[in-house]
Amino acid sequence: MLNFYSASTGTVNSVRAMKECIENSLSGNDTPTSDQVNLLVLHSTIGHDFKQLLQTAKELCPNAAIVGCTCAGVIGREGANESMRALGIMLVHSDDPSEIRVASCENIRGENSFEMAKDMANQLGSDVNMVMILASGIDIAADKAIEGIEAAIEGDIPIFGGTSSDNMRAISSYQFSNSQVLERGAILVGFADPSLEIAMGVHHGSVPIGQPFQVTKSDKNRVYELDGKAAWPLLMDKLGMPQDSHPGPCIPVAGMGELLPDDLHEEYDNKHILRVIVKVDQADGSFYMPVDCSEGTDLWVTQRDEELIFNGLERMMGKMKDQIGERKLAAVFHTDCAARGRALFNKVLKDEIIARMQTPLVQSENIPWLGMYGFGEFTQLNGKNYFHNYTTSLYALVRK
Amino acid sequence: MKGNYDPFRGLKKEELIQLCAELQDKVTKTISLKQELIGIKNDLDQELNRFRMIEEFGREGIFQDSIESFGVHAVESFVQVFEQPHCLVAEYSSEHKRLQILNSFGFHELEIPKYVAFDAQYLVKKEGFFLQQEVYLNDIFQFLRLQDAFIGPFFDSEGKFSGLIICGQMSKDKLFYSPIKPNDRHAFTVMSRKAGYLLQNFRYNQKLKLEIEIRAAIEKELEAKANDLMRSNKDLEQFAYIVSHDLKAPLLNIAGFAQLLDSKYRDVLDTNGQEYLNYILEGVQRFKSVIDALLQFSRNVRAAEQKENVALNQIFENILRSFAFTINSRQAEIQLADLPNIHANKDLLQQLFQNLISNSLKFIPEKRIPKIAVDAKEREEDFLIRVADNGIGIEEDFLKDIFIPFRRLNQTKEFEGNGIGLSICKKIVEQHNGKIWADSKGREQGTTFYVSLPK
Repeated sequence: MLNFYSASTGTVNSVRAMKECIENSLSGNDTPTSDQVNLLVLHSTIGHDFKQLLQTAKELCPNAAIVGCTCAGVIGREGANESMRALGIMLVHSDDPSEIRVASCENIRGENSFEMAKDMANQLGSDVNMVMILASGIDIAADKAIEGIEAAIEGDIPIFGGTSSDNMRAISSYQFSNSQVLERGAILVGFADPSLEIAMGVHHGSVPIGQPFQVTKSDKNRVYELDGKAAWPLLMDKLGMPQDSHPGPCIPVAGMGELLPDDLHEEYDNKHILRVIVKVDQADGSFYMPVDCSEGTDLWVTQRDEELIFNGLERMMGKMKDQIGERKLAAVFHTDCAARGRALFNKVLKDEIIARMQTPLVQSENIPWLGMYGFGEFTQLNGKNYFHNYTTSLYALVRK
Repeated sequence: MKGNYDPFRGLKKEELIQLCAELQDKVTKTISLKQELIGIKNDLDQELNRFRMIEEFGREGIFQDSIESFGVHAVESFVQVFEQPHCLVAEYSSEHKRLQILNSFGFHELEIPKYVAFDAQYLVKKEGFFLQQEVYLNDIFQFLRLQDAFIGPFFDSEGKFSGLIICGQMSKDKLFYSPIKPNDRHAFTVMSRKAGYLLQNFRYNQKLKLEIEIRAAIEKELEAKANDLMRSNKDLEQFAYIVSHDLKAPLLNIAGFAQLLDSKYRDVLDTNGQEYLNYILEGVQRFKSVIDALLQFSRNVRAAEQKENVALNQIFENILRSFAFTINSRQAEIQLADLPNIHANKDLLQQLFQNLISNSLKFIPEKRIPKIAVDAKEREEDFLIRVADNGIGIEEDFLKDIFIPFRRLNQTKEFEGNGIGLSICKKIVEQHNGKIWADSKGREQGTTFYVSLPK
């Protein structure tokens, strides 16, 4: 049976930060010793010394597989921290180490995402009952990665997790696999604990504006033209921004809405699913979507609606509570869009949003919680795996 | 009419579509404007948060208990508050004209020296400033390879330069780190000043701590010496008791036989023999008096613990009764004021004041009518009892010696004694946690004894 322990810190010294997190995670009663930990999942903001983090983690948890990724901020039981040096960890222990499977790859890109993901999923084994994915937030074709995993593991395997990010600059993001720091990597963690199930919630609070653009030229996830014009310059022009803008600073405003199938509107609490643009080819004005975008697709400019964000969150938490029922929570993983952090909310509002997620789920219990502000979120809708952007996604691991 | 006004009446479909598109454009453009406003609002929020962190830095700084932990606290806090990857803090020594590096952060690949030569006269700015703006400092800190960095000088409460902090980034850090901005100058200056005061406070406390440690060591040493002294006093008292006790038996033997010799054989002795016998008898008598005094001196130690409420007037009346013959024969004038009741050992108080009165009567020349005044004053924590006489007085230089055992200031035959009476007084007073001292304006000016006894 898997047991989870978490902590987060804003300590800037990387060695001390990791030590502090591990010590605090395991400070309760009936906790394993650090050398008994089987898996260490870490989220770090971009300013930390990653080598020091990994080395310290390995020293203190020598028998643990270490996985993780960079993010724009970490979210723990202690709240959110988007400083340049924030760290959050989740430690996992099982008396049966085979309940935890880890696979990783390097150089995952749009064109090989399916194969790479399938290969990793094959390494996990077909008896895992849920898969956590942490992948590069800039290069991956997330829909293909999902298809790859589903191709390898039969049945409706729940996939959850997120893509890495930097501090909203969309320059580079990193993934961690044991002592390795990867720049274009992906990690899959398979949990094979039959006593665990997962309940998920996802929500964004954006609404489309007016008439959509139509994708008139594209190749897989690369969009060359909108309405017959070079895609990126046109979008920038509409947003009143310089045409050669780097996508990083545009993330909070340049989210593209794509119409969802009708049967998902109620579940999603929205008709549109959002796509983030984190990679642009300034030479030809094309941009990359995190999923395939065929010609003829309508893409809307969207804007956030604060009321919808807060009210939608309430509805999402209500649905999650219904899903969980009387079952006991083992841990909560959480991915949130980097643009929903300090780029959108001040500290008070951000704390309020996080409290509205944590309080109904954990109440007064000390439930391990690890979250990050990343570039994208893997969350199921109606039992089907989807990749999202600009959402809050919660993954509650519950005991059957 | 106004309610039914339709501004789009008469427009063609194409014109309406065009109008909608323009409207959408305008709305779309407001998204980035709105985001810009959110950004400004959140920047202000972060600025406010930054000052909270600076406050926190000051609060936590007070609890740093070593210069190393102060250094760590300073660099890590600056890194956190200004979101920069590198920081260095140094303390200035005006004596050596150099900076001592207390701590640094993020310079793993560089070798940071312990000291850097530095002349504070080249530092003219009191506020935080860009390293690159000051040629002298830029040259000194070239080894840090910083491209964008701020320096915050520290000043002590007297305005003297006491150190500095540097925080910033190298060119390779620009990938993710925003350079420190001119707008950060104010916050940087505020935090640097706080760091300066913390450093000064730490050094002051360190000095104070050292002084306390030295004082504690001295006190310990004094205590040890006092214990030694107390032990040696006890030994001495024991010694005096044993000696006097053991000497008394053979002395009584000598006295007995000398008296037998005197009563039975004086007539058979010649004049010289009789004179020798007189010397023996006188010597034995003096020796006996010394031994009695010694015995009393050592016995007093044992009696002091039994205390009761003692009426001083009663004590003095007893004393005067015992000296009635002398008082009457010398027509002495004794003035006895209303005296308080004191919690003390009755026998010892009797002994104390008997010695003082006896001392006064003894040291008033035979031809002078003795005048002795006894009074008392109640003070906040004690009673002050005064015994004044019109005796031969004491020269100022000898006042401090009169309480030393066997110290006789006047060796003339007229004022005989064993020299232990006043030291017994002192001992009794000290056993009651009081004080005794004498005052005299000099020869033939009389003496006043003061005794303070706690309430």
